[in-house]
Amino acid sequence: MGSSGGGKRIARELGECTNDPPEGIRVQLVDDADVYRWDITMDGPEQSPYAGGHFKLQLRLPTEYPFKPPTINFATKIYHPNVSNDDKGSMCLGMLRSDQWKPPNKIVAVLNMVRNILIEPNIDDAVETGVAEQYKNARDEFVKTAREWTAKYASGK
Amino acid sequence: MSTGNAGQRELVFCHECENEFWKQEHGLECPSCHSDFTEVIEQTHDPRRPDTPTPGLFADHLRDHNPWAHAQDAPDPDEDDVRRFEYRSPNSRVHFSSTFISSSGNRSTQTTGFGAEPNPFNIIGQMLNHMARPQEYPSQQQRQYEGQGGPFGPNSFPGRTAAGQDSGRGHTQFYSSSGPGFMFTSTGGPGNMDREDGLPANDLHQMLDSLFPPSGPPNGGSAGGPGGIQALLSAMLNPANAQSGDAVYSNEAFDRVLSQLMEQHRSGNAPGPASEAAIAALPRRPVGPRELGEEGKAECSICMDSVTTGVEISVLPCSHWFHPDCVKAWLSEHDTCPVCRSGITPKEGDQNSVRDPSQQPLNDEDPARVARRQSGSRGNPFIVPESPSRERRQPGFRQHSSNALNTPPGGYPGSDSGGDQQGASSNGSGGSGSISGRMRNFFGGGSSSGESSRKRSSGSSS
Repeated sequence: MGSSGGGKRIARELGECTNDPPEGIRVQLVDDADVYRWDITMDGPEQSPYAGGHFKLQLRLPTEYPFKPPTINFATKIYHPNVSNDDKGSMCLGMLRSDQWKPPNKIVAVLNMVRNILIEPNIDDAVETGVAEQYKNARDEFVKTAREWTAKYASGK
Repeated sequence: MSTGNAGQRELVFCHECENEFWKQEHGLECPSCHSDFTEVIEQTHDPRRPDTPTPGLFADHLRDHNPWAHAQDAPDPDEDDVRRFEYRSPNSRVHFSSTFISSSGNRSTQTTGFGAEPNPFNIIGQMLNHMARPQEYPSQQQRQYEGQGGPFGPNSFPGRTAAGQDSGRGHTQFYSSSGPGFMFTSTGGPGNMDREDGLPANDLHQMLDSLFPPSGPPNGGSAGGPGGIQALLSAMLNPANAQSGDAVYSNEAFDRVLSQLMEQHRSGNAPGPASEAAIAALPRRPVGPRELGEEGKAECSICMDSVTTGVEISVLPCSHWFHPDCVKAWLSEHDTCPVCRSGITPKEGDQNSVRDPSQQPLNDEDPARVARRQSGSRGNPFIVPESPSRERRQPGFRQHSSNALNTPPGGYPGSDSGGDQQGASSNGSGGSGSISGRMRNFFGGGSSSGESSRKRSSGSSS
């Protein structure tokens, strides 16, 4: 099937994501000629400290997709145990790991997983262990900082 | 092959493909992969990885290696270049010493504050501010400037005669960082750092031990001490400013860098490819009503194209089916079903054939096992039972299975016997296994953590 098949599948998935987007998620291509780079806007879930924020994410599909997993980066700074607090904002857990990825996984499932992680961080798979510790042991402080960051970095349009 | 005959001819090692070739014949470019990431093998420096690193070897290398050798041999490190600082609490329960070395020409950086370039006195000052009672702090503070001896040389602890009433080796924190133009190390802990030999940290093996002390307070008497220092360290070494360019200032930041590197190479855990013969031997047949179901349509879950009656499909032993080309592309990289992760290769028998559905698969990525194996964090992406450091740093985190935690240090396959005794007899020996174990687990030369835990559990049940 090869890469042409991958491109066809990506186009199909893009169509699904734009026509019937998952809740709180908007999808568009960075460049219309390049189906491998997607711009995602994710609303902070109501039941999370990110509520009210609009988070920009970049989703990149490898040329080997669907045989290799997509990569997700938060372009908007976010205070979250599973998102690296650096200029990359990378998130790598669960099905996004190359050794857990399965071709039948769809991008929409990836996006939904990311949104669920915003609602409920995966503490055992944290990239920011300090934030994870705070989430676990001092939830109030975590929520406070996460809200502050949301207001500071993610409230703009 | 040995480097001994390299007198006239120089053997070159390619870091890309691990090829070895003669410099006289091929120059410095690897003839096999055309990489120029090559290195001449010298008798004193052999870049090739040892074939089977053992814990003993690793530790020996560390012991023989003196990272401060140059600092010690430096012709004339004038006073400003090596700064040493030591603190002891009045009752000798807390002890800190730190050394700051900066290369000449960079001296101006020493006066800047913590943040841009860490000033050791600010760091230590912050520590002491919290650690000592405020009114004690100024009077107890001592600063030592010395220009000779390495940080752990004989003169490392100029004030050590002041202590000695406390017994035992105590619980020691060791902290080190370096960056362009400077190196900073500090040790500290409750109790008397000094041992009978008087040179506590001269031996790097012991330093590693103190780097990752076992979890729990070493004894009841000093239980308050390490907690306080840990709290200070973790408060001070905020991960956000613990990394600056190539330099890291905390274990956490180091972990992050290390795991980032590991991340880039993660595939060691995934099963290898199925053999071409086995893939070719997969039964093919036209899709039938069984696959299409009641609605009369279905899709290949790899390419998401819908399949219609008569389209040829490959059927895996687990009865999941795909386009032949689609599943071939996946199986030639991973011997797992894209849907259920059961491999197509039989566990026993001809590996170039497809297993009968009744046979056990060679690779069976049982989701429960995957979840267990993956329960490490990116900070500690591999569950390395030998490492107690997570427990120490993050007492709230119980991410390992208790089974893994209880395994003795040094118990990985290939280690010499006596790992258990080693773990039981010395309260510090857990540490030396941890970082080397992690490295070995990742970079090969040992077994995966999954293998070793299986081995251990079978051992403990007998």
